[in-house]
Amino acid sequence: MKFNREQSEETELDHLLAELPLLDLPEDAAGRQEAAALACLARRRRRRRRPPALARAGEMVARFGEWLLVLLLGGGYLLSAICRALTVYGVPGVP
Amino acid sequence: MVDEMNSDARLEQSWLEELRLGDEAAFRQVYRVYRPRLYTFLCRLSGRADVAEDLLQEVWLRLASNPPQPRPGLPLGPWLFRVARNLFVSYLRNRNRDPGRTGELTALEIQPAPTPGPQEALFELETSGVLEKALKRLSLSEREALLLVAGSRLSSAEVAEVLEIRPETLRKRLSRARAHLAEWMRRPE
Repeated sequence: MKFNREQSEETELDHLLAELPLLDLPEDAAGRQEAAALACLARRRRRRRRPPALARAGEMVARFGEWLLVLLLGGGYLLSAICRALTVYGVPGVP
Repeated sequence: MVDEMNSDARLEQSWLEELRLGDEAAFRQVYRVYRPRLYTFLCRLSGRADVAEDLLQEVWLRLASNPPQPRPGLPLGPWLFRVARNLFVSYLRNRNRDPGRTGELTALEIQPAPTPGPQEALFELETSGVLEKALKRLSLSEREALLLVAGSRLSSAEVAEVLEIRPETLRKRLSRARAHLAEWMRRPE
């Protein structure tokens, strides 16, 4: 008997709790929150579209490596030309 | 009923898959469906509308920046409520570290839903007022369990998952919470 009374009281409480009014954000705050989250989602989408880090690193090495190679080859050629000229025409003091 | 739950779960799975691809329409659907439920949960859990608003914003940012992996049998609702609940627990921990903010508790003003007649409205307002006050007197663990079971539309198993406890523990906690709530309602002060 006591068990039944307790159970009906619990059911009534659950019913009352379920009947509590649902609250909601004010419209402007809701709009602000949605806009902020959508901006975050857009950032995530942009990140997803970028190629993976390894591919980006390879691309960067190729781009800068090209310039480095040109610089080294050009510089080496110039240096060897200067050395050859010095050897051919001689420099006073150099045996 | 079971079919309806299955179709809801399937719908949520598809929203999750689209969300992971960055689809705005899927986010808007989730936002529209879960916003009032999460806000109500956070309001009643914290007793403060401003805190609930801040925490809710954080929930949406987490969903947008790192949505959970879609897996069958793991719907979105429990994930969202777990994030909301964990954020509130973190907020409490931080607030307790900051003694300047502990005294700033203010009462939450609740706007009741429109009701048919003035007498029923008065009765409902009185009942829900007593209930709201009794809810605030419950301990955090009892309050969150009751709010999740009664207001979140999650199953008991999902609520146990959100609270990271066993279903048996949840049953005991709910029983204790209901007993305390009934007592506080009988003796409002």
